[in-house]
Amino acid sequence: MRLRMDGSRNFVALVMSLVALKFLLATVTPYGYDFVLYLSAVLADDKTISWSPWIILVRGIFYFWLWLPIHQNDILPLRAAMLASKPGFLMPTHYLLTMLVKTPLILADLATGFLVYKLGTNLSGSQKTGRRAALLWLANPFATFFVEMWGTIDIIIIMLSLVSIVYLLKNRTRLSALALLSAVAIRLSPILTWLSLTSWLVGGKSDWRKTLLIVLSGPLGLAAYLYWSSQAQFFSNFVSFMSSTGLFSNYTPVTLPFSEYTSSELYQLYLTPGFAVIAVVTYYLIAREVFRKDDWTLIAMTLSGILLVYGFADWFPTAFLWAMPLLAIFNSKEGEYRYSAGLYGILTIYLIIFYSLQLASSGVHVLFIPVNLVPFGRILTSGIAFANVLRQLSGLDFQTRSVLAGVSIAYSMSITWKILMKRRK
Amino acid sequence: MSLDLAYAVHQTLVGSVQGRTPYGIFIKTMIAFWTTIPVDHPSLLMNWTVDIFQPSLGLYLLVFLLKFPLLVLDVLTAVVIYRVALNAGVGEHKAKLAFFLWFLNPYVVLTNEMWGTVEILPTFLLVLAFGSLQTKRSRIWSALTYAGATAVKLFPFILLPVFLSVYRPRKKLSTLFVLACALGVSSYFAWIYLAGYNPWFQLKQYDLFTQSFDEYVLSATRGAGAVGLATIALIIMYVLIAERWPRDQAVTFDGALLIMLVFFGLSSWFPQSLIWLIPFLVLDAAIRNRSIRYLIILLSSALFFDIIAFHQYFTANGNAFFFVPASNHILKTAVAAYETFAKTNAVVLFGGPFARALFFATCMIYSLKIIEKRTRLISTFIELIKYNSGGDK
Repeated sequence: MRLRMDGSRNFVALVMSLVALKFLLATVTPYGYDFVLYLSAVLADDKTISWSPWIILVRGIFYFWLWLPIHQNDILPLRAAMLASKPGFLMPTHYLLTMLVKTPLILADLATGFLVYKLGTNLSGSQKTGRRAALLWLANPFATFFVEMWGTIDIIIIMLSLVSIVYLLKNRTRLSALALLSAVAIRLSPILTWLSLTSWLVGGKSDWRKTLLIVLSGPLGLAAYLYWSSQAQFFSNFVSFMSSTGLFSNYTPVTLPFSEYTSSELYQLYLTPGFAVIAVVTYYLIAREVFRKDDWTLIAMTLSGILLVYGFADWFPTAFLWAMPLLAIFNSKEGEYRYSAGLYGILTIYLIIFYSLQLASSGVHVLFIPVNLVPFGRILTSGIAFANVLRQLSGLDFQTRSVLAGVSIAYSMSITWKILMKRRK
Repeated sequence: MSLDLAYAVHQTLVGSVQGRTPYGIFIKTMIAFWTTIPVDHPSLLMNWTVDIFQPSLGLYLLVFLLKFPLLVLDVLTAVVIYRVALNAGVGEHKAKLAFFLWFLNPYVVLTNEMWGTVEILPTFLLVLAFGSLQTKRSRIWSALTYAGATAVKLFPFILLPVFLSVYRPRKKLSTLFVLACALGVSSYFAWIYLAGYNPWFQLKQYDLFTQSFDEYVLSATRGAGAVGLATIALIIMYVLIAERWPRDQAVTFDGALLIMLVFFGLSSWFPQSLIWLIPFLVLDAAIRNRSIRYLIILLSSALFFDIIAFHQYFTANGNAFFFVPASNHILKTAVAAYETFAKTNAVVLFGGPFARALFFATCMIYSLKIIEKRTRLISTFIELIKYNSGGDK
């Protein structure tokens, strides 16, 4: 299967249509899972995550919306709609607010598309491949679902990570380090990209000062992340914050929950080693030794590391967005879609089985669209909710999660093998 | 007091799901035939359950009649193994060795003749399916026997990717095996459903025709969720086979052996399930010149942890010694000694886990050897590391 893009005019028309669709979907999904959480935090004046850079931005947009010369008394219905899950109280201005809050996400999505295009073009030397990569990202229903509908802020850190990679490949290391630092500071997960970039640079022929900048961006970003999250009200001081596991176990849309797989619980005296950290660190240590230090390798090894983490840790589904732009670049260059199709296929089943309660809520929404806007909304809600019943009855969750882990790890190994074989040639 | 046989007879007589399966119908037929033979006919419900057996000539005759097909299948499997080895050109001597490695195998005797498992039927069909490819005989025959094996016990569906990888460039042959697998799976579910099994619950409970497996798992440090190591490893092996396996039907057999080694190494199973693997191990030793020590280590370690973990089954809760009714003093002493041994702390805490670890490690080393032989993956990887280490630095 190869996507045919013969002219830039068709490409631009297609991209414009996709942008319009993304705006539409973003607007009609005020019940996006993460969107509800951070808007509720603003509405309820919740202090626990109030120092997050994203919450500060959302608060700003919210006050801007209040400032607009439109219905000023819409705040009470909004509280009822969001905090009490009553879609009947949603008014047209609330959809405007939804669109305003999600606009930075859509812009980050489009910027990611542009970066994917640039990387695809530069790495392959063909504009056609770049366009194919951009389309694989922009038309990816999972990307649209997580970004525009779910409302995850992961797209911002993904965009910043790609900016970092692009600048690094252009030898503009300061900007690269700054972008990476910002990404890590916002939601920590780009620490994976940092590991990849560091292992790619260290021991290579790069100037040590430039390498040092990238190396430092990770710890500095981590310090910034820990600083703002330690300001949360539920931590009485920094010491109690550092000893708390709540930061990594409680889900919020702006922090990074982290739970990796272990063999079994050890005595509490020792820390239980987790397979995700073991696998990724080992992978990058080996990669540092054996991979060629070229542009394409950087993309492939970053992607492989992320896929390994999917296999060895339990994530909230928005984390699967991290690999998608890199998959788009990789697939467009290699022209092979089998494993991606397998990964997305099992991801679909995973979402329906594990997250049916998030995807549809009885009397509230279907795929985050208010139920009163969806024809046969209640029937669809029941249909999706049935997956949860099926899960409990059949124990399908364990097998589904295992297959997803297996596909991720196998895919990662397949990519690694391709890098090695290219090195040989 | 063969566990599976006694269980099947009892369940058939009390009119449970078992009795409505083809095997249950066979049992009823044989019992009807037995009642026409002029021997004593004690009440089966009163005199024969999984932990009661009142010895009598009539009952022993019935046991023989019911086990006769298992014996025949055992012999037939040995014959097929012999023929496959002979056709592979390894010579008469090695073909005979393969025959006896199966036929006199203590593990096979324990699980087939003594435990009374029906696993011998799908095993025989699987050996036919892969054996006929090994000897380059009819692929349709191979597909049909593969479908038959899947229809009896479902598990052979995990081997489908092996056929697909070998026949990938030839769409008609790939389709043939996909159809065979689909036919087998649908037939299995059809007869299971018609017999009255509940597909969601009973298929995961222990029964003669169900799949009772547990994978070793990795658990998440926090929150719910776990992943199974066998599933992960199988998917990795499928990708490996799809990408790197030679497109030669003579090596489908090696692919099947690899898949089964990974599966058995990373999951826990009832002892009789291992019988699926044994013909492949035997043929590998005979045809591929694999050292016989792998077969010995795998089966002896499995036997060791089986007799510890399943001692209540092997003694029928203290009433039998490896399913032989403890009807005299010597056998009763043997049962007591066996139970004491199986419950000893050193054996339970050290011996069993050590044997299981040895089994796992042997499976993994064996798998790596097969992978290396068929793909040269490991040596290429090492070569690339050497090359790369000397390249850029």
